[in-house]
Amino acid sequence: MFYFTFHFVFQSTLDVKGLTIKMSRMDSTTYLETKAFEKMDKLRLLQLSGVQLDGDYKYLSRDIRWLSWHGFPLKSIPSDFHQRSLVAVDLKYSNLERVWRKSQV
Amino acid sequence: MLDKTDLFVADHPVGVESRVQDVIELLNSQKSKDPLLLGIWGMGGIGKTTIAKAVYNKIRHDFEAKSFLFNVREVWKLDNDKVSLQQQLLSDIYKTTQININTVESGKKILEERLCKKRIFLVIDDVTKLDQLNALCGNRKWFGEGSRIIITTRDNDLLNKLEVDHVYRMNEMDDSESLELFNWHAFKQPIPSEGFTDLSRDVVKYSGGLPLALQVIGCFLFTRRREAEWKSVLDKLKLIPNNEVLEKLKISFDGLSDDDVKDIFLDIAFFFIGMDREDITKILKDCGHFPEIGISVLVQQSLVTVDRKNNIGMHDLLRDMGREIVHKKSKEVGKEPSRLWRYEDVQKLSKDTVRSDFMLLLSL
Repeated sequence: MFYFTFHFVFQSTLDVKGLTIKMSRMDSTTYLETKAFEKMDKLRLLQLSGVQLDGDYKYLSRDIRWLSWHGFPLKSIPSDFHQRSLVAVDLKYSNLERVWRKSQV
Repeated sequence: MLDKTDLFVADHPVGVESRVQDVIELLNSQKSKDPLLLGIWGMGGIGKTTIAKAVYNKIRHDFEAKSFLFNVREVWKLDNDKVSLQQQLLSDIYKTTQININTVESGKKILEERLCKKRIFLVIDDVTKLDQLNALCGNRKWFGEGSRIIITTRDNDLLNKLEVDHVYRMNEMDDSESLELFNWHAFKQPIPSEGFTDLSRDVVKYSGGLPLALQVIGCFLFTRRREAEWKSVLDKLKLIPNNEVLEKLKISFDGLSDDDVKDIFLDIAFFFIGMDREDITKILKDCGHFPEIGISVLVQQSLVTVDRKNNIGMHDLLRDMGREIVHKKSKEVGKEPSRLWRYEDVQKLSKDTVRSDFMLLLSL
């Protein structure tokens, strides 16, 4: 199992519009700390594959329009994830059973 | 017999003949005596000019007069040279330097009066602006019976505006053509040297059937005969595109006049290849872009494609170009993260057991 954060990479506030993280070997899981996303408050497009997030989802940008997460590990989308801006979600190969536990609207 | 006025086509003209035949067939499709305008359309480095030259060599003798205007995009940049293109056209057709053209406008008038008097074959190569077409081939009434005009361009919209009779779309080379062309450049023979078969296939896969890339990379590898060197070149290419290829492809991107369209191109290069056009449109619209018109422009400029299922595609090398543009710019403005650095970082962390991609798209 690999465990690391990419905290170091994003030390300063960056105008990051989109981010892709793909790990191609699925039998070992890579965990990323959600806090690493805290500074990326302009993030709109997020694409994850073969990774899992660790920590509160509130750190993810409120601005996310598109979430693509192949291999989404959870059974539902966490309630602390800001989903109001979402216009498209793509969760292939996931364990998702229901989309929202309760509506945030 | 070798004709001294033949144009040089290519060192290794792989796949040229069949495409030339296709074009000639289209040129002959006009049954009436009307002139025929044909566009050759495709992305940079795909071989439009090569095909136009080969067609020119083959059929120019069937006409009363002919002219091949090379590289109009470049020549057009200087004011004097706009007139010089008109002048060249006129003197090619009339074999005289007696007629002087002073301004582009008077040039149009003269060409309009004179071109129609002969049965001509004209190639206008690498057109990027409507002004260029207006100055050099205004409309079909400029041309006399039986004349044939070929325009090569990356921009399908220009061909629509000129109302050409046919558009010949240049497609990528298939795998066997690609392999043959590459081998000619890398080994000076149509098959790879012993031990290089798999590596050759890797290069071909990387090139995505783009003749320019096959030629440039093949020539580079010609003097190199160690497997390790080849592997290292390939690994590097996957991270940093070859500069010569990059510059040629970048012309189309730089030519986009609208920053919003550039942004949309980069967004697609990073995230949306293979996705449904409607979905992408929805997302981009919500991000404040104007994707309906933006994507159409990108398709016209041969920067993205839309397949029958309405999925958006992009040539691998154009995708790499897009990613490299962001990478370079982020270094310029002093924003720390660089794709290469992150990539290596992750490789180290994962002890080479996991192949991983990290990408950032910065708003620049």
